[in-house]
Amino acid sequence: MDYIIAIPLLPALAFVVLAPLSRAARNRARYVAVAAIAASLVLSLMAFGTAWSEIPQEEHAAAPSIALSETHASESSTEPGLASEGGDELAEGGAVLWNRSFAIATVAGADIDLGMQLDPIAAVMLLVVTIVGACVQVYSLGYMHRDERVGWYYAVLSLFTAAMLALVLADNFLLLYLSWEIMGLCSYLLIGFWHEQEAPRKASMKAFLTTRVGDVGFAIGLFAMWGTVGSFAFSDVLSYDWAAPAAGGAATLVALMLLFGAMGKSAQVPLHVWLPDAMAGPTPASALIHAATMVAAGVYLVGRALPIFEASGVALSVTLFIGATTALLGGLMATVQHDIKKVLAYSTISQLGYMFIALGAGGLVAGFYHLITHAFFKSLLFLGAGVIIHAYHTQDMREMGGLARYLPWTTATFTIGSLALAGVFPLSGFWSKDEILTVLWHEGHYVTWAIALAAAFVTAFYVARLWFRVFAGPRQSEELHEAHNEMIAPMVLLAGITVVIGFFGPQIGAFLGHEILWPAFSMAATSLAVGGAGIALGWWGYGRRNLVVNTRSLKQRAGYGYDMLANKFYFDITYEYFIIRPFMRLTAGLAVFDMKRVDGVVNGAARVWNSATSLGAQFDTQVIDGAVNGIASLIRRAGQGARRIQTGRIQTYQRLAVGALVMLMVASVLLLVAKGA
Amino acid sequence: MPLLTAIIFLPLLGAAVTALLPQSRPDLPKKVALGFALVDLAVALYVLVRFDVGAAGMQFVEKASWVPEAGIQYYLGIDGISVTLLALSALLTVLAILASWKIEKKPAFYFAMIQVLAVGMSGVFCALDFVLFYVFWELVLVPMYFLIAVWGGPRREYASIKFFLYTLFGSVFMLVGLIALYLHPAAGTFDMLKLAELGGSGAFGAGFQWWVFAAFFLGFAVKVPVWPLHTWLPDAHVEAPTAGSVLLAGIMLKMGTYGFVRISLPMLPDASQSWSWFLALLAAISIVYGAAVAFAQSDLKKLVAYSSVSHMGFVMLGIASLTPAGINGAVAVMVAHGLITGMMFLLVGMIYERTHTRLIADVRGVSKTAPVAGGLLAFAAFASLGLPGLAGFPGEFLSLLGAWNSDMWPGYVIISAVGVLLAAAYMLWMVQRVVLGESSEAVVGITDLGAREIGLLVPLIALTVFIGVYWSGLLRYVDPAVTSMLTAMGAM
Amino acid sequence: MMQVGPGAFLALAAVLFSLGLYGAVSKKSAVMVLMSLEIMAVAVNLNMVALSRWVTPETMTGQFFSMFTMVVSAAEIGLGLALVLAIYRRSRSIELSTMERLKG
Repeated sequence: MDYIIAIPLLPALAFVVLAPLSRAARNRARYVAVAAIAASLVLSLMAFGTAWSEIPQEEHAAAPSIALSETHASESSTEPGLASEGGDELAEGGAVLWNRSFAIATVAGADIDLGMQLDPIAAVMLLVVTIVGACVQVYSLGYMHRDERVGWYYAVLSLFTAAMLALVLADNFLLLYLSWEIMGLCSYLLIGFWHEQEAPRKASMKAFLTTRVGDVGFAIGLFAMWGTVGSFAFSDVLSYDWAAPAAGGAATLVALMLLFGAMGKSAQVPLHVWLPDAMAGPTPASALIHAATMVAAGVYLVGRALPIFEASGVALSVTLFIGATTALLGGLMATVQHDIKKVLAYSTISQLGYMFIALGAGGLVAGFYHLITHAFFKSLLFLGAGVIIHAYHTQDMREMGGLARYLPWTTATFTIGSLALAGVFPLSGFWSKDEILTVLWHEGHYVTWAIALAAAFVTAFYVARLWFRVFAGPRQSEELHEAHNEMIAPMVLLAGITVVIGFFGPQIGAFLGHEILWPAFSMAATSLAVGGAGIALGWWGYGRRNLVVNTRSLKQRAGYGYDMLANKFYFDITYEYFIIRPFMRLTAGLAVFDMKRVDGVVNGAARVWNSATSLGAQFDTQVIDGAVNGIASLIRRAGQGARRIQTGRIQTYQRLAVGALVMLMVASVLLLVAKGA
Repeated sequence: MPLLTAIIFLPLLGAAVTALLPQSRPDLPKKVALGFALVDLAVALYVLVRFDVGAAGMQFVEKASWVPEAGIQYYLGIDGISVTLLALSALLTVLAILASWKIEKKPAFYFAMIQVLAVGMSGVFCALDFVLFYVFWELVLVPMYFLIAVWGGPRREYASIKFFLYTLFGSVFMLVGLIALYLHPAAGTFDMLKLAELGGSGAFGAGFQWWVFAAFFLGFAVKVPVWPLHTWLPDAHVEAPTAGSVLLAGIMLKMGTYGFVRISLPMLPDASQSWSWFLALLAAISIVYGAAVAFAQSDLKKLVAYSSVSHMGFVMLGIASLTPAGINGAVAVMVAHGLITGMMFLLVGMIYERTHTRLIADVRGVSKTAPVAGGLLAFAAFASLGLPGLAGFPGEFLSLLGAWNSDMWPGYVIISAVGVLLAAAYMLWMVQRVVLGESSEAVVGITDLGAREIGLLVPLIALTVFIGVYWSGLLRYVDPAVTSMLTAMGAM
Repeated sequence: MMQVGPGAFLALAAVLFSLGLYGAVSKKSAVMVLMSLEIMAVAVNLNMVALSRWVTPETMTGQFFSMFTMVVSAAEIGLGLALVLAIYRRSRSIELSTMERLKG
């Protein structure tokens, strides 16, 4: 099964081929990227097929309508803690079908391994990534075809896909982290793709830095993990006895740090601020990166590390809390956005919060299930939004309306996506959301359950608001036309998956190692009722009259609450005033400090030195030079003296010679005497 | 065959030949210098290939008596730590010569100086006799002084003198430490390996070690440079010509940290333990402080200079950890920083040649007009901020990993890890202003990089990617040496 | 009979040498200086013979050397007197104090 290596490698090669080309050649060669993702898709299907046939699956009731009530009622009562138990078994890597690793470095004889493995989660994630990736790339052929840097766009998209595929195949936390960061780079490059404009430039930097705040935590988690276990491999880390006293507080530390990393990547409160701004990038890229795959990597990470969280307990509660907060706040913020992509972005934040809730309750499979369904319907919504934006040449929903009659395919697929997001039976979102609600109920997290239900209500409301604003009412533009076929086809495919995938819930659950049950009737009815109420409220607010509703009435009614929502709960302002600006002031101050003070000490010392040396210079001219000159004149005088000896008279010389001889004799006698003594 | 001698003294021969070339042919010196540097690089690569990776001891040893009365030897040898730095310095010398292709002022003198610089740099990494080490160490100062003072920017005199005095100040203390070691009754030798052996066996008392370490610390810390001894660096970088900056940041800074690894740690293991918290503290300050100050710089070269202060902090942190991972990481950062900062300075130099300004406010939207230059600058920035898959990452990661799992206070590691975030902040902000956006007045109409310039960057890019993707490509040299050193120190 | 030891010869030689030395540095006439030099040489010869007689009585080394030295001094004197004559012919004087053309 070594062909699995090629799955991430092919898109990576596409990047390597495209990146060094000239712009024109790159633009022409963009089909290389499409071919690579298509090949990866085929290989992923093969891998999935193998995995599917090799993992033994229990038989499940095939007809959902019959099983809806009874199956759930009976099984849930017998095994209330099933979700988390199943999660344990899965996360400990019982079902690894294929594994390859190599040492990227050896430190003091200990290998640091990077490796890939195929297990059921990876197999499913491979499919999600390659399907959405392929859809987005095909869609982009139409969406981006007029852009002068489309080749670069495809290159980065390929690199991103490669990183995401490597991430889901990783058999260790280090490779996961590496791919994680590379995805961050791609996200940065794609958000800032139209860097000539101010907004994408700023948004790209904000995205990279905000996620990197989380990454610092992730890295520290890795350090602590290495210190405790001495390995990054899933098999070692997850089989380690984190609950043992020897592990000390390590489990909580590692889990919280990993969670912090995940919060950055998955845009959880309070690190969510980058995702709405990230919508400045090309819409298909948003569909892939900021809706379906990269932002879900945080969920994936927490899911993989769930045994550590469970050993800690505290970390699990924190996850639950963060998830619940994000699900509700994200949904609320979505209700006041006018930019269609920002509505979807906040919706993504909220849905990711949902997944965290599931994980926080120990419902690994429920979380992953929602991740999968969300990936499909949210990317569908983004692709639809792309068509809408192309049709209207704006992202402001206040300037839209009446699209339903002119863009039939888009309307149909977008509606399917919207209803799935709102959790309407029998679309995929309904099943996965109910699964999460079920897990919450069974684990006894009643408050969170209520919050999740409230979030579901809000979700239904803003979905309805969006839908009625865009598709209902009078049309606002004359030139509305349907998109190209290469844009429609991926949307239809995604819509198809959204419709049918919910019916395979039990099979998917069994494949992932834990039964996903058909929702209990009471639960389903409750969530449907809440969703229906939300949609009704949306209709009441925005769909009742066939006219474009301004928001004044809502503003007046909500008052302070509306201000709070419109200001996005003041997160951005808080960061701006309490972190970014003080930081800028600090750095500017430090730079001055460095020049004036630290360097000043040195320069001061230099000045002291200078004055010392100028003293020295005087010393030089007067004392040392004086000495030198003095010696010279001394020698001159000595020479003159010596000259006088040279009389030329033999007898003078004789006398000198005799005198010298006598002196020598005296000296030698003295020496002899001294020696003798 | 005395390969190390060849590597060290071939440039000296080249310098002599270059200096003697006729004045009437100003185009000759660069070619002659390049020829010698290429041969030198070839020999260095041969040594790199023939180096026995698994062995921990010194290889390619050459030993001859020099001043027998004082026990001073001509003693050369390399282990895994020095061989990588030796190859790096040979490579960067070639690139520095290529980057100076358009020098017109006194070319013979200029290229002779670069080659003398190469003599000192490779000598430092090969010397196993302390006096020899010191001689090479000081030899580096002279050509660098001239490079800054003759071919530098407007404030070159100030910068060059500051540079010279600062480093001389440091080396005086190093000399004191060196003599103190020699005069210790147990020692009486300048043989660095013997001294390390004596240090490892506990021949030096703790108090003695403490003072000698302090002296060495001053000598090396100035070179690294560690906060607060760093202020010569920005000035020297800003004023130095491109080649000078490349060699200064790429190799000379590493001499300081190399000194810690080769001398302070193995010879003075007890003092290393007791000083490690202090090194870690200064490292953490250097990382965060350098990054924060870099953020506020308006001059591209200064920004890169302060980023060097920050990055060298990671080296110091790794060294202070006294763990195999940390010191492996430290050496990896040394090499990576040499590659990446070299690339950075080369690119800044190329952009400066075109726009005649380095002010970030004036250089905007490079990628719009010169996509290759802009793209590569962004690449270098990402490499510098420690993106996985590029060379900056493994070193920083291992340094922090080692530091976290050492005896030091984890707070230092957390502060340093925040430095990683700040690195992203200042680099991206630079990219956002310089590379992205619409081109500014100074940038409009500039030509993109030519073949020579791209060719000059390709080896750096390739190595950056290679080391980033395959850490062992570098660490398989380093790890055995680090492990044996730490074992001898009793730190493992 | 009085025993004559080497000390007497050495003392005589020292006296002769001192006389010669005194003459050489104090006499004005070049001829007198030459004669004083001869006296010094004679003192040396006497020393040589005496020491040979008492230190190495079996050989005759000292005596032979004295013979050589006497021959050489005779030649020396011949040469010296010739020089003095030549000087006298030039400057009509053999007073050494007037000969100072070598003055530096």
